[in-house]
Amino acid sequence: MSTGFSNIASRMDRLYEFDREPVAPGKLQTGWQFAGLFAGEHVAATEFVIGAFFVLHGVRAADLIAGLLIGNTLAVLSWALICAPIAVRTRLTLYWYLRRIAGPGVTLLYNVANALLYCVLAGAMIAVAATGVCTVLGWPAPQVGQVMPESPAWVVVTLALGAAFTVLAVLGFEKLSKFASICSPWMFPVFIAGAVFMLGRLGVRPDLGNLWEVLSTRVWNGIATPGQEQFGILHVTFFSWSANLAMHVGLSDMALLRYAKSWRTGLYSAFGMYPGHLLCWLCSGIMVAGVDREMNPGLMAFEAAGWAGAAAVIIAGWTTANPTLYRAGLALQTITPDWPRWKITVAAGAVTSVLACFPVFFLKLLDYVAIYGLVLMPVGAIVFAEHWLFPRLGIPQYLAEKRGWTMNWRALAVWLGTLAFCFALPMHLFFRWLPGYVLALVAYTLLMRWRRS
Amino acid sequence: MVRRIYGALAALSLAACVAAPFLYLQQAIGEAGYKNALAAASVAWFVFGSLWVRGAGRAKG
Repeated sequence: MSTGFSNIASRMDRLYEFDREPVAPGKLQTGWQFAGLFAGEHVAATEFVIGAFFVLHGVRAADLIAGLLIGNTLAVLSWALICAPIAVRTRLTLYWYLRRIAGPGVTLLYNVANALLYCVLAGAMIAVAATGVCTVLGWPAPQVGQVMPESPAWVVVTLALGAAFTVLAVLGFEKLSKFASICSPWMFPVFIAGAVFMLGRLGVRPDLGNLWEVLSTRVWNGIATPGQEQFGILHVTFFSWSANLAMHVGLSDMALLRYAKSWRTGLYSAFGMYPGHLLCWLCSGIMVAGVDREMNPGLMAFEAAGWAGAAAVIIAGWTTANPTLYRAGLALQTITPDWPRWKITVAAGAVTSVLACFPVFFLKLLDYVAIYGLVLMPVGAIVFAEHWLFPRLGIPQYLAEKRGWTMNWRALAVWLGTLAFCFALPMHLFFRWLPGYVLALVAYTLLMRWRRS
Repeated sequence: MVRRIYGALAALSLAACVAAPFLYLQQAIGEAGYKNALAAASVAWFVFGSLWVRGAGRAKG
């Protein structure tokens, strides 16, 4: 078992060899480069769904705006105060830092979990793009509450899109990334255009005199759609804080921020959060209200912005599924290291395309996003404890590296134990990660201290 | 110089994307006019944006 892990680990290390060394001082990036990166990454296909769901969940207008402001500010602070300081001090990716702390075995499990979660996320993005195609072709899209695919047309569209995205990802990830960099600045104006148009349709006067009245009575009126749970300010705050939990508190954005000149660069995440996770979510909320709360991103965008809107949904799904497929492939390559890049991308694409057929993944996107962050969050707590708490408490650091452990069993126990604790907690899914994070910090510190004594 | 012109036209295209719905809201244009203007401005963005980015690539190369 241990030998098997060691073999896989050594092959896995070769895959990530290119970023093994800490970033050299000459390769550090400016804050504005990070601003562009964050801005491009957080205006994605999923924004069409998330903002719309807040309307269906009956959030009041004032609660939504306050919750998004607080939650996104907390997210920015999490990047700046939790992720960036560790990234800047170590100049390593989470992969290599976790390897020093928890051993290659835990790193392997982290990669596999990450790959599967990425596949589901890419599947949701393909499904969002599929609603755009269905709208253009006049075919029915899945309805809220649907779990399984019920229409052959839907299955055909999602599989065809999944196959097309996969082939394009195989043909040229870098060229597509360049294309995505052209799409990103255009996506945001399409969100704004769709929302402003829908305001007119919802009855806002040209002088905007009744804007707040329309927003608070026809968009975020505090009445949940039948079958949807009622959300309030805390739900919005915690969701917007934890929408990228795996990236900031979970530390996976160490891969980006290790190129930062100082921890303050984490504050540039505001360029992604406020336009993407505040304005775009508000815009998609207004758009769904304009189509009588029908949760169909393609229909919403087509009604609100015509052909440009339909194109935006499809292109957003494509450009955001593409890097997600690439990351899933890279993570999956750890268990199939002899496969060439195209083969693993095709495998990840096939899994993703099948998952995309199941509408539950995009129709339950809020829950999925929360679970995604929750599953990877304990790893961030373990790394945080080892980096900051251990030196202050006199606990030796990096024992897995120093002793050559394949697996730091205490780290694994804390990870799995925290997940069990979080899933058993009698509170809303969005709130569970915070007590779980505290538990993981304390439990890992105590276990490693107890080991020493 | 040409690259700057492409950049300016790309920026204007994005500005047109944002301006179109406000013109609709002010009842200066109808729904069809708004959607056509948005589609045209979007196509313009992709054309001029691509040329602008390609120019940047050549300048670096």
